[in-house]
Amino acid sequence: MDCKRCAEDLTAYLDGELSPRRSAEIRAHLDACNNCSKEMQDLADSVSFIGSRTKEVPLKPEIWNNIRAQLSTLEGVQPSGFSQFWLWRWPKVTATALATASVLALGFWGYLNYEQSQESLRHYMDAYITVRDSQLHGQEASLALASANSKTDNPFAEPLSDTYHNPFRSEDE
Amino acid sequence: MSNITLDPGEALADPTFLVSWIKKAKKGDLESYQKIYDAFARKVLNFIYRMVSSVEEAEDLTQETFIAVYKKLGSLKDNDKFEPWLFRIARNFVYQRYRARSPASVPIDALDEEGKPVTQLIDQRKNPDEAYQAGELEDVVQKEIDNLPEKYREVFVLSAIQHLSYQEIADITDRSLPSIKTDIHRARLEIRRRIKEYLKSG
Repeated sequence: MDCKRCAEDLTAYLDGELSPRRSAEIRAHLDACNNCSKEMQDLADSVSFIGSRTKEVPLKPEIWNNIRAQLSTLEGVQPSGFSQFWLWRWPKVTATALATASVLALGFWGYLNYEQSQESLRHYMDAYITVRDSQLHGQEASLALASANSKTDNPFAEPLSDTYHNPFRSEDE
Repeated sequence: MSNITLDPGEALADPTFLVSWIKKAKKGDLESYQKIYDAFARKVLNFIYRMVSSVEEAEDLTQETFIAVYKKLGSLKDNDKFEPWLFRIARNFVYQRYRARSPASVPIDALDEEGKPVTQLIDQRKNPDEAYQAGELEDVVQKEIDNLPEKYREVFVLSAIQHLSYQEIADITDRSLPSIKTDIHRARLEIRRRIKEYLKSG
């Protein structure tokens, strides 16, 4: 390390603001360089001199009394924060959050509805196929469809008459 | 007057105390806020004093700072960063006051018999020559701090006198860590040069 780089970091070294590795490098340079060592000591002395001759202003009790008096008028009112009327303090953020939440809720509701409809339709179609196939073999199919409708809450189901009427088949058949 | 006398270092040795006071103060507990005030008020007052060089102004701004801090306390997200946040608010008040009290804004009725503005910040400071003649080193040091360029003065006071970390100073001034480090070093060199010149001339 050269003296210029060492000098640039001397204040931070004295303030303990360097990384351990950088501090070790500076320390090694100071051990080997008389000029930089003197400069470091001089800087430390000047900071100490200034520190010991800075006027400390005493804190008057009136300052707190005045603050207390003013804050007392706010007594019962919490300092403003996230929990207090935060909705109105960031209207754009609030509006965006509400819009996003609404879209997500709508999407989820739509997805649930779609799944339910698909499930009902599947049940209905299964029952229909069973009926169609059974009609070829006997009258007990109408009972199976009635049973399927009652289980699936099929919104498209119509009340069954005593005689089952296949909507996909014309009367002429 | 505050009946709780805590040395700031002692009170803040355990940060959990401060965090617990902040949490209570956020709920409107003035007793806890008083403890926070006791721990930091002297530091803030002296920081402001070194920036404005007027005890009266510093007291006034300290009062305003702590009222504002209480009102804004709820917006402090990270309680561990209370100190830089507090100094940032104090610093804002300092610069607001500087702007409000620029020489051009001094009203005509604020002039003394000799026509000099009585409320202008610089005129509330001790006359440099008088300070030199009186040999009052404290005033000389304060004068040399005053005479530092603004960006050096601020970081010098916060580092060498208030002993804040470079990261805290960067947070307060909203500047990068490398630029803070460079300016602190330059400020120390500059004030050392000025003090040495004074000592030689004396």
